[in-house]
Amino acid sequence: MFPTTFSIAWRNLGRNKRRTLLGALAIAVGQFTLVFVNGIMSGTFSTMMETVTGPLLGHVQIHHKDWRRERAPDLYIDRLSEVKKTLMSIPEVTSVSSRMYASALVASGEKKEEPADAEPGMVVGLDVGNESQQGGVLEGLTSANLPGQGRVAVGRVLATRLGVKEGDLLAVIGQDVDGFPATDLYEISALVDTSVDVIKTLGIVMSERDANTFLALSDQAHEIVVQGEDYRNAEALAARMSSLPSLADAEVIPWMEAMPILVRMLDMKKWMDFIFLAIVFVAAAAGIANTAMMSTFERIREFGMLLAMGVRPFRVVFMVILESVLLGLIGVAVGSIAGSFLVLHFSETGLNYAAFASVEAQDVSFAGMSFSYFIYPVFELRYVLFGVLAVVLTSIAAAAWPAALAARLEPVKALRS
Amino acid sequence: MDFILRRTVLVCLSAVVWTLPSTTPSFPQGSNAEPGFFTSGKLDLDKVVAHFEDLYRSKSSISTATLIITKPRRTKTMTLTSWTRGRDKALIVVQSPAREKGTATLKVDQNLWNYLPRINRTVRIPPSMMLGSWMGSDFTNDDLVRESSFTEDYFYELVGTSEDPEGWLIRFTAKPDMVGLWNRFDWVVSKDGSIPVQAKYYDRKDRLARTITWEDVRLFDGRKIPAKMTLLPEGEEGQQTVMIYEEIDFDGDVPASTFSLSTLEQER
Repeated sequence: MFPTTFSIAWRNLGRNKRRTLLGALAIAVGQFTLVFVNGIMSGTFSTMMETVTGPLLGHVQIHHKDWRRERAPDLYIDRLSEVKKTLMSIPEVTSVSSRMYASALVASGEKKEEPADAEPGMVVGLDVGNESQQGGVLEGLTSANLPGQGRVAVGRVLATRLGVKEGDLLAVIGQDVDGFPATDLYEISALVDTSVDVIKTLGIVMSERDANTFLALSDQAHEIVVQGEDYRNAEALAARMSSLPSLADAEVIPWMEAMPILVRMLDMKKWMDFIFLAIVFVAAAAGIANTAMMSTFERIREFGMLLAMGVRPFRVVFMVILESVLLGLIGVAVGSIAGSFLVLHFSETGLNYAAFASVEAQDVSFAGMSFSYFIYPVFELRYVLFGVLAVVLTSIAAAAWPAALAARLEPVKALRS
Repeated sequence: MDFILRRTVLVCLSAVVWTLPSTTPSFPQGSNAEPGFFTSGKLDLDKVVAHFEDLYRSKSSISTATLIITKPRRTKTMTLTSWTRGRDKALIVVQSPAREKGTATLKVDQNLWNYLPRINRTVRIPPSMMLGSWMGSDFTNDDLVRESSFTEDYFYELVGTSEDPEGWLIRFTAKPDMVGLWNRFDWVVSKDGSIPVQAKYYDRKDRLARTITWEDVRLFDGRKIPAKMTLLPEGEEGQQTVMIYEEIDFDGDVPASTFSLSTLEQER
């Protein structure tokens, strides 16, 4: 019984090719949009999350309780090594690194006729080993270019302003944690491009040991950045850490709190996903309902005939619904293939947003980080499946009424109409 | 910006004695005894303000001073030698402690350079850093450099007498188009109108930001000048900067070549 019904439904689709094509196209476009746009959004978002929970914020940050408000150099976490050890003993914690910050004046240390102009900068002491890993501030530097032992990495923007290059000497004039003058000369080991804006524009990145010497710190740091197993669990991790006695006076915040604007964007993305899905639903429903309705009304006599021949009403319903599900599947298949192809293609080559925005910049600054204009869309099968499911359900729902109408026909009346 | 502070900073740092552009006609040079600040029994405000504007001026000066910077955890004492010539040229050199010895600041007009012997480099302080701390003290670079005047940048009025400390209270209010840190400052001068006693500085939101107290009036090269100046920043517990000057030699021979970048980097 089924093969016959199937072939009747299939042939019915072929009766009015133009109408079928248009209906399928509406669905295809909807599905294409869903797959493609979600691919771009996932790509943007995952890049963003990597940027955010990577170098800049980590998953959880720990500061002196007044640090975020005042940023004074003497607001540090004391007994650093002890605290770090305690943190590492938490099973979910994958890495703990500490940083020191101090504003300073910097100038080229090269001997010239005219004294160099100083520029404001920011001394950033950090765990070089840790930060040279993937996602770290110093990612991509060769071991010969890593800061340490009197060598520092300088943010590219700052370097341009100072007119210095790799290998040059750099004079740093600042204050230690007590506010007394501190000066030193460093060799520039590398210029760094990083997604962390403050480092790119102001940063003098040095090893923890050098920063300790310069700032007269001993076993203290301004910031502890903790990476956990999953950035989504940061809140629980932060709660757990803040209950530690050694961090009783410190402020422990998950990245969500450190950068609430991103949480809002995350929420917005969920809504956007939903909106796109809804658009696909509506497009599919309109296309299918129209097609199913038209073809049902056209074939009232035919249905009457079938019923008169003893075909059971259920089979008529089944036939009509099958027809529209087939239509939906054709559309959704075309849309999925086209959308997935495009997403997969751009996930290789990257999509240059800057070209659309007609700007020349390579990245855009937002909330203290720079995000690349290059987007690598991410193919996610679940969005394809969502679309397929949505279309199938909509097809059934949209065809239900015409199908019921056909099934309830009185054969005699239908034949006469 | 605020004239008396800047002037006094330089005085205390360097016992800056500013050149008289012409002269101060009301009283003899080298002495500020009895210029007569009262006109028919009332304090003559214009005269007092003019007197302070000229109080620390001379053609040149050479001086030594002690700077004591107190921070919550540490206190640091530095001795400074300064040379000045005219209004616009000053050279301040740190003599002790050993770690900072030779660190020097050169001011020529609106420019400020720092020489750092530890790294043997001279850098120019950019305008954007003028509000930064000078040598870790509570003074800003701007306090050293800024050229402004009581009479040009501020309205002033005699508010009345002050009980604590005793003296006359004069209020300086920034003129509307003045660009600067302070909204106003209240200034107490001694009863005879010749010595500054205390100044309270209010920021642009009219909150008390710092208090400066002048004490220990001594005779330096024939001039009566407070030897000790204490700057107390508001809201910074356990923090203050004190300057005490030991010796001032007015109108000595200070050649113009003192204020050059090459002198700045000389070993002393």
